[in-house]
Amino acid sequence: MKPIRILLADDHSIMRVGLASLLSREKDMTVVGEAETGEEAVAKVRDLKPDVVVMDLMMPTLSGAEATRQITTPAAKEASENEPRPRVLVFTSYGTSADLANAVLNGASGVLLKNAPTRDLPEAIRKVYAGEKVLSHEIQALVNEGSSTLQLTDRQRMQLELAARGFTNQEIADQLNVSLITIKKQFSEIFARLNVSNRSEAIGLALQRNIIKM
Amino acid sequence: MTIASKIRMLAILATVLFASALYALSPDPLRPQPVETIGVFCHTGTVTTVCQNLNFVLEKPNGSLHFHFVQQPFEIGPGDVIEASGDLIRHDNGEIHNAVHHILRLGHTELPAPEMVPLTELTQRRDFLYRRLTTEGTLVLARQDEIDATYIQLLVKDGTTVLNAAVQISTNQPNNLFSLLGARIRLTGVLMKNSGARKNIANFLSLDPPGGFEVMRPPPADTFDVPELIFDSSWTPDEIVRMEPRRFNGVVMATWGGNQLMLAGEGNHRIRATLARDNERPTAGEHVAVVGFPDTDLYGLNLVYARCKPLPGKKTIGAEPKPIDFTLRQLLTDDQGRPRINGYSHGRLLRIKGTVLDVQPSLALFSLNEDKLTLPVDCSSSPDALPRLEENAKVEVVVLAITETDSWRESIVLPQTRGLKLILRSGTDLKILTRPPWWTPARLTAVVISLLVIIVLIIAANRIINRIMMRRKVSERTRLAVELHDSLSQTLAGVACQIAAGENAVAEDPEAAMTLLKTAERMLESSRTELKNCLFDLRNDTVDDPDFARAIAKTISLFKSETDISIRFHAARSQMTDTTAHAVLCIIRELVANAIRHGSATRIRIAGAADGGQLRFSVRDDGSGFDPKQHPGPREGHFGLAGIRERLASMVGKFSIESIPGKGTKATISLKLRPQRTGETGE
Repeated sequence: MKPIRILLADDHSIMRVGLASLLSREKDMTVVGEAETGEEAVAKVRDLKPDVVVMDLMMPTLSGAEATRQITTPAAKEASENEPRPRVLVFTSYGTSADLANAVLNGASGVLLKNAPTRDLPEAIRKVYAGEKVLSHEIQALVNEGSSTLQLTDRQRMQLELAARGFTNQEIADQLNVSLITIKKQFSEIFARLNVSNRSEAIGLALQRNIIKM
Repeated sequence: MTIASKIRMLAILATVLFASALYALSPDPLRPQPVETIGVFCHTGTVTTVCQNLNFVLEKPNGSLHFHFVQQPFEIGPGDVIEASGDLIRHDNGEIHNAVHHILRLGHTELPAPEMVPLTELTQRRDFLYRRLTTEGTLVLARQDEIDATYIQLLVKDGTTVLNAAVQISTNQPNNLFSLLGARIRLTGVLMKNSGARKNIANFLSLDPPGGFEVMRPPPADTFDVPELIFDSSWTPDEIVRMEPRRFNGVVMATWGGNQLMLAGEGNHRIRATLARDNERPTAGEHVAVVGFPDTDLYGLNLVYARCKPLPGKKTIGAEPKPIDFTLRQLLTDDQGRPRINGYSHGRLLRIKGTVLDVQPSLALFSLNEDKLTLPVDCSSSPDALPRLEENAKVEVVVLAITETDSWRESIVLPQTRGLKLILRSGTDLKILTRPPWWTPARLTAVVISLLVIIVLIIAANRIINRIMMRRKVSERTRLAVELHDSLSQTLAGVACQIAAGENAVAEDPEAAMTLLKTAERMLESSRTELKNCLFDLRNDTVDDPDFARAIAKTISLFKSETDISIRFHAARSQMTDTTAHAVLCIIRELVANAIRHGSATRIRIAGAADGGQLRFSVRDDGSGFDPKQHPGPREGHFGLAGIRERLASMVGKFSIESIPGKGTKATISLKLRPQRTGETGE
């Protein structure tokens, strides 16, 4: 049987060493690479084509959630749709419910907290590899809670849809019959909920998650 | 001088010239301007008088008319028979003038003898205006006209009537006039209306140039050689005001208002005197002789148009009157508290206590207040008292009380009381009882307001400081939480994995298990060091030290070794965020620890400098060094350098290490600086 190819993405060296030691003792697994940053993880996925990425959320340069999105979503230009995308198991010690929800919405197959019993990890990797979701009740609750904050109201959706069609704030305000200030406020709310920093990111993410339609 | 400044000077000069030209050309705003011509005239008659080359009077069989020259005056004189023609002009001040444009000289005639009119009658009848008349009176005053210096103003008095006459100097000897004071004189001239600035004053007699002035009775050889004023209660006011000048010898009790005197004479007689304006004013306490025309008001005899001269010797008339204790209430109200001026006080010295309400140096007075009653105190003869006065001071003054009333006149049925005046004779009559309290309402308000402002400022400052402290604390806590999370919890999770791996291996591969567990032990050691450092930083506030070199020294003081460590660090703490500072300190500590522990260095050089938003620093030692290529990494349980790289990854930094075995090690780090804003949480 072919071992499960694993990429470890964690900015903490001791953590990586520990994980590598643990997983290399599992006969059906092999650690093919390690990444210290989100960017490195994305790059190494491309090169090493692992089956499963064990992903920390808190990493420099590119957050785990964003890296997850880039890993699980095929970029338009990139090779065939048929090529299997690696599955991502978020293995993190810390994160707000929104972070976790964001990661799951971005395509992570499972979430495991680092304070969970150590021996749960190989099992979780196997499940994720087999296409199952690894979300404990506790995590599921957190994700639900987080995704509710990530959801947009009808009005916010409408506003974002108008923005996606290229309307300016003033035009949106006129169309929705509200003040310009309200529109601006709503946008910052939308950015916060989608965990993005600007308009185009918000539009891109909303389109990708089918929050809005063109 | 530069051309520019020359041009500027010329421009200024041109502006000034232009402005003055404009001013010169603009009509005099105060001179009445002709508004409209309402008719023409042509009159024939005899010239009776020519005034100031501006106007003249023509006597006609059916009355006299007054004419104004327009443009150039014509050469005419009294007695000339002329035909005058011109326009009837209304001015913007409502006056209507006969403006003469043409004069035809018809001949000359002797002026008819003027009618003799008593002075009293002359001032009371309107139909004398512009008529040539003769009248008689006593010369009271002669002075140069304040408006036109070519004229001398005369004041002639007969009984209660006073007439103003004007005579041109060139035709009369002025010295003669001034020496005639007190003489009985006969005046001949044309009764004219004052115009211009004096238009609201009574008419005056424009005297014939020659012979308009005749002395009927010469003046006394000595002005003061006149009969003494005798106090006779049987005199009627009418008799008093018709008297010739009288003399009064006495001591000046007080002076006020520039020319007013109160005199105390023999037999406790008191009179007021109103000095002629040109007479020098005596001072209080002086013994003087005063000569003037007797007059009377409600409260006694006065001498008006008076002259005054000091008498030789320091004669005092009786004892200095003793001041009477009075209150403002007694002065201004009756027993029932109804307003009333206490007539008894007139001409007496009063001692009054009160509070200074306000001081008005420009008017030479202050307001004395007591019990809601206020009276002004005249200080015109005691200017030395004014600087000592302060608002709200309690004072005791000795003052002369004067009830001012109109002078008696036949025409005035009831002379009016003008009010009560208190006169402070000299500064010695002012006693300050208590200085004003330091607080006045204004000062108190100022103090209260400034206190409030200070309190508000303190509260605001406190809040700001608290907020900053709070943020610093939050920042500190956040940093600690991140630190604990990033290092310790991760490390412990990593150790847990490592031990689990070791356990897994025990059964099949005891040796591998051993290696795994050894690494786990190193991991724990590393985490113990981290925890120790973390606690050390917490205890020593290294990150908060404003002197960054000192913070470094503090950080490495953890290693009590014989190593010679020098620090040359040229970067201000304020250039770094807390996170950056913490990272730099941790990195330096790690490098120094390595040099001491693994390299057995005897000398360590720490150097750093900030330049263009970049911080570059290095740690160099003379220790044993190592081969970077064969350096044991995390897998072998050496996490130090990996830790440094991890810290730098999040702050866009570079880390390089050069080492040759036996020749020491040099680690160089560069990272981007972001200055910390006050109160901002680190990252």
